[in-house]
Amino acid sequence: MSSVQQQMRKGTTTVVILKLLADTPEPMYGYQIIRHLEERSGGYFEFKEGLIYPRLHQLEREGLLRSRWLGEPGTRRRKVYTITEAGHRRLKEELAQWRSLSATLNQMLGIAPESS
Amino acid sequence: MVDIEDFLRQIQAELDLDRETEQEVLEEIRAHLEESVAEVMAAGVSREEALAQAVARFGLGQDVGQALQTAHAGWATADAVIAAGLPVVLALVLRWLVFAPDGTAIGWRQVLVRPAFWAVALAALLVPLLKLARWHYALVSWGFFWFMTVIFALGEAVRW
Repeated sequence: MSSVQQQMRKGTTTVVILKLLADTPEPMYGYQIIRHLEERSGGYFEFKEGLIYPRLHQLEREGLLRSRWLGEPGTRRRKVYTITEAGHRRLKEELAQWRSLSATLNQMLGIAPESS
Repeated sequence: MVDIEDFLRQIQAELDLDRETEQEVLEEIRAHLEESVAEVMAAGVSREEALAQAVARFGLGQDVGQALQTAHAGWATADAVIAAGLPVVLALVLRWLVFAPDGTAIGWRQVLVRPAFWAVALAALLVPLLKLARWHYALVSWGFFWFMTVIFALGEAVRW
Protein backbone atom coordinates (compact mmCIF):
# COMPACT_ATOMS: atom_id res chain seq x y z
CA MET A 1 0.00 0.00 0.00
CA SER A 2 1.40 3.43 -0.94
CA SER A 3 1.97 6.13 1.64
CA VAL A 4 -0.84 8.20 0.09
CA GLN A 5 -3.23 5.30 0.54
CA GLN A 6 -2.05 4.81 4.12
CA GLN A 7 -2.60 8.48 4.97
CA MET A 8 -5.99 8.46 3.27
CA ARG A 9 -7.00 5.39 5.21
CA LYS A 10 -5.90 6.84 8.53
CA GLY A 11 -7.78 10.05 7.88
CA THR A 12 -10.97 8.44 6.69
CA THR A 13 -11.41 5.43 8.98
CA THR A 14 -13.76 7.27 11.32
CA VAL A 15 -16.04 8.59 8.61
CA VAL A 16 -16.26 5.27 6.75
CA ILE A 17 -17.12 3.40 9.96
CA LEU A 18 -19.79 5.93 10.84
CA LYS A 19 -21.18 5.84 7.28
CA LEU A 20 -21.29 2.04 7.23
CA LEU A 21 -23.14 1.87 10.55
CA ALA A 22 -25.48 4.68 9.50
CA ASP A 23 -26.37 2.77 6.33
CA THR A 24 -26.89 -0.55 8.09
CA PRO A 25 -30.11 -1.04 10.02
CA GLU A 26 -28.74 -3.92 12.11
CA PRO A 27 -25.94 -3.51 14.67
CA MET A 28 -22.60 -4.90 13.47
CA TYR A 29 -19.61 -6.49 15.18
CA GLY A 30 -15.96 -5.76 14.41
CA TYR A 31 -15.37 -8.63 12.02
CA GLN A 32 -18.47 -7.72 10.01
CA ILE A 33 -17.44 -4.07 9.87
CA ILE A 34 -14.04 -4.98 8.44
CA ARG A 35 -15.50 -7.31 5.81
CA HIS A 36 -18.07 -4.72 4.74
CA LEU A 37 -15.46 -1.97 4.51
CA GLU A 38 -13.24 -4.17 2.34
CA GLU A 39 -16.21 -5.10 0.19
CA ARG A 40 -17.42 -1.51 -0.21
CA SER A 41 -13.96 -0.30 -1.17
CA GLY A 42 -13.34 -3.12 -3.61
CA GLY A 43 -10.29 -4.17 -1.59
CA TYR A 44 -8.78 -0.65 -1.51
CA PHE A 45 -9.64 -0.27 2.15
CA GLU A 46 -7.46 -3.06 3.49
CA PHE A 47 -5.71 -2.69 6.81
CA LYS A 48 -4.57 -4.66 9.84
CA GLU A 49 -7.81 -5.94 11.26
CA GLY A 50 -6.81 -5.56 14.89
CA LEU A 51 -6.58 -1.80 14.54
CA ILE A 52 -10.34 -1.51 14.00
CA TYR A 53 -10.95 -2.23 17.70
CA PRO A 54 -9.04 0.72 19.18
CA ARG A 55 -10.91 2.94 16.71
CA LEU A 56 -14.31 1.45 17.61
CA HIS A 57 -13.59 1.81 21.32
CA GLN A 58 -12.45 5.40 20.82
CA LEU A 59 -15.62 6.25 18.88
CA GLU A 60 -17.69 4.64 21.61
CA ARG A 61 -15.84 6.67 24.20
CA GLU A 62 -16.62 9.83 22.26
CA GLY A 63 -20.30 8.89 22.30
CA LEU A 64 -20.48 8.40 18.53
CA LEU A 65 -21.12 4.66 18.80
CA ARG A 66 -22.99 2.51 21.31
CA SER A 67 -22.15 -1.12 21.95
CA ARG A 68 -23.82 -4.11 23.56
CA TRP A 69 -23.06 -7.80 23.87
CA LEU A 70 -25.15 -10.39 22.08
CA GLY A 71 -25.23 -13.85 23.64
CA GLU A 72 -24.88 -15.12 27.17
CA PRO A 73 -21.69 -14.94 29.26
CA GLY A 74 -19.81 -18.22 28.99
CA THR A 75 -21.00 -18.77 25.43
CA ARG A 76 -19.51 -17.23 22.31
CA ARG A 77 -20.67 -13.65 22.56
CA ARG A 78 -20.32 -10.82 20.10
CA LYS A 79 -19.99 -7.14 20.83
CA VAL A 80 -22.08 -5.21 18.35
CA TYR A 81 -22.03 -1.51 17.57
CA THR A 82 -24.65 1.00 16.47
CA ILE A 83 -24.30 4.66 15.62
CA THR A 84 -25.71 7.20 18.07
CA GLU A 85 -27.44 10.51 17.36
CA ALA A 86 -24.13 12.25 18.07
CA GLY A 87 -22.53 9.86 15.57
CA HIS A 88 -25.07 10.85 12.91
CA ARG A 89 -24.33 14.51 13.54
CA ARG A 90 -20.58 13.92 13.31
CA LEU A 91 -21.05 11.95 10.11
CA LYS A 92 -23.01 14.81 8.57
CA GLU A 93 -20.23 17.26 9.46
CA GLU A 94 -17.48 14.93 8.21
CA LEU A 95 -19.27 14.32 4.89
CA ALA A 96 -19.73 18.06 4.35
CA GLN A 97 -16.03 18.64 5.02
CA TRP A 98 -15.11 15.76 2.75
CA ARG A 99 -17.19 17.13 -0.14
CA SER A 100 -15.62 20.53 0.30
CA LEU A 101 -12.07 19.12 0.45
CA SER A 102 -12.69 16.80 -2.46
CA ALA A 103 -14.06 19.62 -4.65
CA THR A 104 -11.13 21.88 -3.77
CA LEU A 105 -8.52 19.18 -4.48
CA ASN A 106 -10.19 18.27 -7.76
CA GLN A 107 -10.12 21.91 -8.78
CA MET A 108 -6.47 22.30 -7.77
CA LEU A 109 -5.45 19.12 -9.58
CA GLY A 110 -7.49 19.93 -12.67
CA ILE A 111 -9.70 16.88 -12.30
CA ALA A 112 -13.15 17.40 -13.77
CA PRO A 113 -15.97 16.13 -11.53
CA GLU A 114 -17.47 12.91 -12.86
CA SER A 115 -20.93 13.34 -14.28
CA SER A 116 -23.44 11.04 -12.58
CA MET B 1 2.52 -23.00 15.97
CA VAL B 2 0.39 -19.89 16.51
CA ASP B 3 -2.21 -20.18 19.25
CA ILE B 4 -5.07 -17.73 19.84
CA GLU B 5 -4.57 -17.66 23.61
CA ASP B 6 -0.82 -16.99 23.21
CA PHE B 7 -1.63 -14.17 20.83
CA LEU B 8 -4.18 -12.73 23.26
CA ARG B 9 -1.53 -12.80 25.97
CA GLN B 10 0.70 -10.63 23.75
CA ILE B 11 -2.10 -8.09 23.55
CA GLN B 12 -2.89 -8.39 27.26
CA ALA B 13 0.75 -7.66 28.12
CA GLU B 14 0.25 -4.14 26.72
CA LEU B 15 -2.98 -3.47 28.59
CA ASP B 16 -3.33 -1.81 31.97
CA LEU B 17 -7.10 -1.65 32.33
CA ASP B 18 -9.57 -2.72 34.99
CA ARG B 19 -10.10 -6.47 34.96
CA GLU B 20 -13.63 -6.41 33.54
CA THR B 21 -12.74 -4.09 30.66
CA GLU B 22 -9.64 -6.13 29.87
CA GLN B 23 -11.59 -9.38 29.77
CA GLU B 24 -14.20 -7.82 27.48
CA VAL B 25 -11.54 -6.50 25.11
CA LEU B 26 -9.89 -9.92 24.92
CA GLU B 27 -13.24 -11.68 24.48
CA GLU B 28 -14.08 -9.41 21.57
CA ILE B 29 -10.74 -10.13 19.89
CA ARG B 30 -10.98 -13.86 20.60
CA ALA B 31 -14.37 -13.97 18.85
CA HIS B 32 -12.88 -12.10 15.89
CA LEU B 33 -9.94 -14.49 15.55
CA GLU B 34 -12.13 -17.58 15.90
CA GLU B 35 -14.44 -16.33 13.15
CA SER B 36 -11.50 -15.41 10.96
CA VAL B 37 -9.97 -18.87 11.41
CA ALA B 38 -13.28 -20.58 10.68
CA GLU B 39 -13.69 -18.55 7.49
CA VAL B 40 -10.24 -19.52 6.20
CA MET B 41 -10.73 -23.16 7.18
CA ALA B 42 -14.01 -23.21 5.25
CA ALA B 43 -11.90 -22.66 2.13
CA GLY B 44 -10.14 -25.97 2.81
CA VAL B 45 -7.08 -24.69 4.66
CA SER B 46 -5.70 -26.53 7.71
CA ARG B 47 -6.37 -25.03 11.16
CA GLU B 48 -2.68 -24.31 11.68
CA GLU B 49 -2.40 -22.38 8.42
CA ALA B 50 -5.74 -20.68 9.02
CA LEU B 51 -4.53 -19.48 12.43
CA ALA B 52 -1.33 -18.14 10.92
CA GLN B 53 -3.28 -16.24 8.25
CA ALA B 54 -5.80 -14.86 10.75
CA VAL B 55 -3.07 -13.60 13.06
CA ALA B 56 -1.10 -12.09 10.16
CA ARG B 57 -4.21 -10.22 8.99
CA PHE B 58 -4.92 -9.05 12.52
CA GLY B 59 -1.56 -7.34 13.02
CA LEU B 60 1.12 -7.54 15.69
CA GLY B 61 -0.25 -8.22 19.16
CA GLN B 62 2.03 -5.57 20.63
CA ASP B 63 0.80 -2.87 18.20
CA VAL B 64 -2.86 -3.74 18.73
CA GLY B 65 -2.40 -3.88 22.51
CA GLN B 66 -0.70 -0.48 22.60
CA ALA B 67 -3.40 1.07 20.38
CA LEU B 68 -6.11 -0.37 22.63
CA GLN B 69 -4.39 0.94 25.74
CA THR B 70 -4.17 4.40 24.16
CA ALA B 71 -7.85 4.27 23.18
CA HIS B 72 -8.83 3.45 26.76
CA ALA B 73 -6.30 5.70 28.50
CA GLY B 74 -8.02 8.24 30.68
CA TRP B 75 -11.30 6.41 30.50
CA ALA B 76 -10.75 4.50 33.72
CA THR B 77 -9.11 7.55 35.28
CA ALA B 78 -12.22 9.68 34.78
CA ASP B 79 -14.33 6.90 36.27
CA ALA B 80 -11.98 6.61 39.22
CA VAL B 81 -12.14 10.36 39.93
CA ILE B 82 -15.95 10.30 39.92
CA ALA B 83 -16.08 7.06 41.93
CA ALA B 84 -13.70 8.46 44.54
CA GLY B 85 -15.09 12.00 44.60
CA LEU B 86 -18.76 11.14 44.78
CA PRO B 87 -18.69 9.53 48.25
CA VAL B 88 -16.90 12.60 49.61
CA VAL B 89 -19.51 14.92 48.11
CA LEU B 90 -22.31 12.68 49.39
CA ALA B 91 -20.88 12.63 52.89
CA LEU B 92 -20.68 16.44 52.96
CA VAL B 93 -24.22 16.88 51.62
CA LEU B 94 -25.58 14.32 54.07
CA ARG B 95 -23.89 16.06 56.93
CA TRP B 96 -25.67 19.26 55.92
CA LEU B 97 -28.99 17.42 55.61
CA VAL B 98 -28.82 15.28 58.74
CA PHE B 99 -27.38 17.68 61.26
CA ALA B 100 -29.07 20.79 62.59
CA PRO B 101 -26.98 23.99 62.67
CA ASP B 102 -26.19 23.39 66.34
CA GLY B 103 -24.59 20.04 65.48
CA THR B 104 -27.34 17.71 66.76
CA ALA B 105 -28.66 14.98 64.49
CA ILE B 106 -32.24 15.73 63.46
CA GLY B 107 -33.31 12.07 63.42
CA TRP B 108 -34.75 9.63 60.92
CA ARG B 109 -38.28 10.95 60.68
CA GLN B 110 -37.23 14.48 59.91
CA VAL B 111 -34.60 13.33 57.46
CA LEU B 112 -36.97 11.13 55.51
CA VAL B 113 -39.56 13.87 54.97
CA ARG B 114 -37.08 16.32 53.49
CA PRO B 115 -37.35 16.49 49.66
CA ALA B 116 -33.71 17.52 49.54
CA PHE B 117 -32.74 14.19 51.11
CA TRP B 118 -34.56 12.23 48.39
CA ALA B 119 -33.11 14.45 45.70
CA VAL B 120 -29.64 13.61 46.97
CA ALA B 121 -30.56 9.92 47.27
CA LEU B 122 -31.68 9.94 43.63
CA ALA B 123 -28.54 11.75 42.53
CA ALA B 124 -26.42 9.19 44.41
CA LEU B 125 -27.92 6.51 42.20
CA LEU B 126 -28.30 8.34 38.89
CA VAL B 127 -25.00 10.22 38.68
CA PRO B 128 -22.80 7.12 38.76
CA LEU B 129 -25.32 5.16 36.70
CA LEU B 130 -25.16 7.72 33.89
CA LYS B 131 -21.53 8.77 34.19
CA LEU B 132 -19.65 5.57 35.01
CA ALA B 133 -18.98 2.77 32.55
CA ARG B 134 -19.96 0.05 35.05
CA TRP B 135 -23.49 -0.06 36.47
CA HIS B 136 -22.38 -1.81 39.66
CA TYR B 137 -20.37 1.30 40.62
CA ALA B 138 -23.77 2.99 40.93
CA LEU B 139 -24.93 0.33 43.38
CA VAL B 140 -21.78 0.81 45.44
CA SER B 141 -22.44 4.56 45.53
CA TRP B 142 -26.09 3.92 46.43
CA GLY B 143 -25.05 1.54 49.22
CA PHE B 144 -22.50 4.04 50.52
CA PHE B 145 -25.18 6.75 50.61
CA TRP B 146 -27.49 4.65 52.78
CA PHE B 147 -24.65 3.49 54.98
CA MET B 148 -23.65 7.09 55.65
CA THR B 149 -27.30 8.05 56.23
CA VAL B 150 -27.68 5.35 58.87
CA ILE B 151 -24.42 6.30 60.52
CA PHE B 152 -25.32 9.99 60.62
CA ALA B 153 -28.97 9.59 61.61
CA LEU B 154 -28.51 6.94 64.28
CA GLY B 155 -25.01 7.55 65.51
CA GLU B 156 -25.45 10.20 68.14
CA ALA B 157 -21.73 10.10 68.77
CA VAL B 158 -20.98 11.21 65.22
CA ARG B 159 -20.20 14.90 65.29
CA TRP B 160 -18.22 16.82 62.71
